Amino acid sequence: MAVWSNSTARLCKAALLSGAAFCLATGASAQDGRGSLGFYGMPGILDTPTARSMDDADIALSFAYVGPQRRGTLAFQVFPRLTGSFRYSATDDLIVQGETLYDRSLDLHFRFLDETDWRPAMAIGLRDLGGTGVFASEYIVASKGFGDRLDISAGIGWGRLATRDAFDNPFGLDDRPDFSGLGGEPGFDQWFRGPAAFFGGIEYRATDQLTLKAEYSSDAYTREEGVGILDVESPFNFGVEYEWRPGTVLGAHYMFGSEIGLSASLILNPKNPPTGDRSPAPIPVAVRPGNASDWDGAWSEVPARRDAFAVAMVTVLEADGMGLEYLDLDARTARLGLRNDKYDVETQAIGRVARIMSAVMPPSVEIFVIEPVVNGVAASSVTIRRSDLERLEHVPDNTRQIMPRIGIGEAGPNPGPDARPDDLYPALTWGLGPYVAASAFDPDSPLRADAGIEATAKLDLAPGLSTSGAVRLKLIGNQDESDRVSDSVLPRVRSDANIYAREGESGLEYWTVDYLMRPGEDLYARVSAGYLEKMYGGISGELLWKPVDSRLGLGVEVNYVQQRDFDKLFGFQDYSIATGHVSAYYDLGGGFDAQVDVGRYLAGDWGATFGLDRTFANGWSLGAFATFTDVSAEEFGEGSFDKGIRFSAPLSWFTGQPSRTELSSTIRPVLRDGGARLNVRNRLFPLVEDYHEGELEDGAGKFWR
Amino acid sequence: MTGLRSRTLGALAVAFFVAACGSAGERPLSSVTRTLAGGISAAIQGDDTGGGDAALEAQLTRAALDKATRPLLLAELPSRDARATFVIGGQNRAHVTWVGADGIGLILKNGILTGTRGLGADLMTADIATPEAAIRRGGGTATRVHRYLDGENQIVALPVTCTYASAGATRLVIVERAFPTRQVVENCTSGSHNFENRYWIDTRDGWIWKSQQWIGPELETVTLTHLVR
Repeated sequence: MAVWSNSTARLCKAALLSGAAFCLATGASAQDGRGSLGFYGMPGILDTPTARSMDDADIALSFAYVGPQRRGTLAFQVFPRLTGSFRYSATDDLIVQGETLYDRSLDLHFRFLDETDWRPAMAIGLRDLGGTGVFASEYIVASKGFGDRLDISAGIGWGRLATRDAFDNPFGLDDRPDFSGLGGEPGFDQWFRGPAAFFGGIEYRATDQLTLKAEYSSDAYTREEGVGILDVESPFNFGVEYEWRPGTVLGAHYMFGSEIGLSASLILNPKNPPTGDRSPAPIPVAVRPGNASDWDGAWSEVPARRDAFAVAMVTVLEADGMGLEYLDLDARTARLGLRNDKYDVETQAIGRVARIMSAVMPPSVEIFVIEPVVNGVAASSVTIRRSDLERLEHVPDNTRQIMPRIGIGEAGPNPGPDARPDDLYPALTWGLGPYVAASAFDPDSPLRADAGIEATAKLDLAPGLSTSGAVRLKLIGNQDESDRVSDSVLPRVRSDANIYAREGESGLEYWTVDYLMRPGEDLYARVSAGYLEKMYGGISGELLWKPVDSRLGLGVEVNYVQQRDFDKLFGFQDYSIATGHVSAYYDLGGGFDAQVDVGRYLAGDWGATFGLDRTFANGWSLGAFATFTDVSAEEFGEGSFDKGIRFSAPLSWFTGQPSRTELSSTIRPVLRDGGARLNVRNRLFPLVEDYHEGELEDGAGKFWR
Repeated sequence: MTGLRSRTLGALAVAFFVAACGSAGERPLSSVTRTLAGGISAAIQGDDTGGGDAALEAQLTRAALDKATRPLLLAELPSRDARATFVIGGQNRAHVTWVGADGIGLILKNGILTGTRGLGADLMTADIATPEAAIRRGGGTATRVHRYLDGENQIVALPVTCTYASAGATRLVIVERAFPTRQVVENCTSGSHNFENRYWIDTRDGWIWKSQQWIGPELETVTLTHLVR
């Protein structure tokens, strides 16, 4: 029965999103519902935390405004117990009169104890764990629900949360050193040190939409009050929050006995798309009449008949938004090279192609071998028996039954020219569309962005060989306003980005010649030359080992590059460097992927980048990375080392229409010169891994869609 | 609900990407539609079975139906405010795939819905092994298992328990033509969902001329009428 209850929950979620209300009646009680968010955009009352969590995989974007402070927070429920967040705060006049202090901070919140009937949930947390210390605090907090509507929390805080009525450190760690250094490094020597203080709060869910909050805060805003930008008259804060629509919460608050505060949060969950797949129905399986003895293979001896089947295949594949790279036919087997530029769930593309083949191929063809071809390279081969398609099309558990019958392996050797349509090469594709380039959380401004028109073109010359380029014409934007001069003591390999934005606001984004190939068993290779990215040109070579059925991939990349002129035209500056990495990619299971890159970075520094991403079967991913090199924190400058968070969301998730377009972004607290990597296009691992066993199994549910 | 917020986001994303154009853009939907509606040959020859409301109304006259050369099914889906005719796109033993002009597919086994495609919250499969006999009999109890895709593309099964009862003889009129039918009512519950299906079965040969069948929690009930058998 456990299986079924799990299914109910999933169905409820799906239905809640689509607007049906049938699951609301079973609504969660206060203690197992999604914890509400405080002024830090993390589970909390207002300034104080609670021991709650959001729903697993929730992504929350929150804004809060009170007195001289404005905060914007992006929080992610990494797994059911762990919440992480990145926050950008602005405080007016805190350090210099008339200037706004922008501060970036990372928080972690871990719920280590679940609530039961007789005991509260408990959580431990770090706020601003590696920033400049303005918001640094730590806490241990307990929360207990009483009935469906009342939730009470109490805890003990350190740092900022111990600036009112503090007492001696309960662990005897009385010494909390002042913040020193450049920020960005975990403040191990400060956490849970120095005086401590109690805080607590109450939440009351008056109706399903309306929540009342009250707290006693141990944050006295000493510093803000000291410089006269805030008047704190009371330790008690009060708030009213209204859930306008599920996931959209608006709040108004009376804080410090002197200020009105406002807040808003938006929550979405990658597991719950707003719509299901609205793409057209697939072609049904065409069942062969008669039986095997009627199925004559003599056609395969006649080249003209083979060609006719290839032409029909091209027509129908293109009608479904895909393309044919090659078709190698004999009486019993059809091996098809597939170009899939449409379906983001690769297994869906495979299932649709298999059904199209059932409709087009003559009856004697029993074995369908589909080889997805990416940039001229066959990433894998998927072998399906036609009789399995015919037999399982309408079987109730057809997903579970078809997958073990499908063979997933390495693609065969490249077929000869006879198997390829005549008009494949050369082929020109082009695109014209809008672009937005944003640099968020610049130390001087929360958001700078340019928008304009981008033209792209790609000329396919032969299988695997292509040349492609992109130019941008900026129409509006303020990225050129950044006049901060790099103070880097390293070669300015990235910290001059704002000069590129200013002097090269319109220009050549990239123009490369690329050759991709399979040099041996389980191996993929790439050579790229030209203007590789907006700041560098040169030559780049990569070799990847990735067996189709392996969780592990290993790669080597070597580049020799020269820095491009600031105008992003064809010239180069004096700086050149050999840079490259050895990379390991590993699917940890449970939706987590790890990557380690070890090598030499753009500034000539040596080190390693560690990345961990949570990925969802629908294509979402969210992750974090950090790079440690032989550049010291002092040489690196603000932030101490390179790190950031990244996410990617499939466009299809928002629209319900299949598309291989992804919306992705990387957010760094600060972009400097240490630990900087080349941004070369067509890195091999993501290209081929999409069609390997793990990804194809993740998409199994869509084989029959 | 979350829908609106996400739809707003979606609309923004769509607006942004729809503004783009290029040679590699997706093919117009109509060509896919042709593929589905007319089968493979039509895809190659460029047959067109599409049409708007006026075309639908023109189809729904006795004169037009009498001239029809192939089976035609009318489906009405109030949850989508949609109404369209469907033709046979494929047959696999007892399962018939009906295809509509806008890329929608409906799968029926002996008149009982076992799947939908292209609607969003599609019914991927339905296990109707025991319900089929109970519907024919007009009595008893049976279990259905519906399968759907969740937001992470995983199959989730929804088993429902159903009871069957005969609701008597009815003279069913479909576009001016009357058929002698008996009505069977199927009442189902899964705990969190309750729904009622209804079938109008020809008393002469058991053909299900008309039915009201529940697709799932989001799409709810579709009404299916066979205009041309």
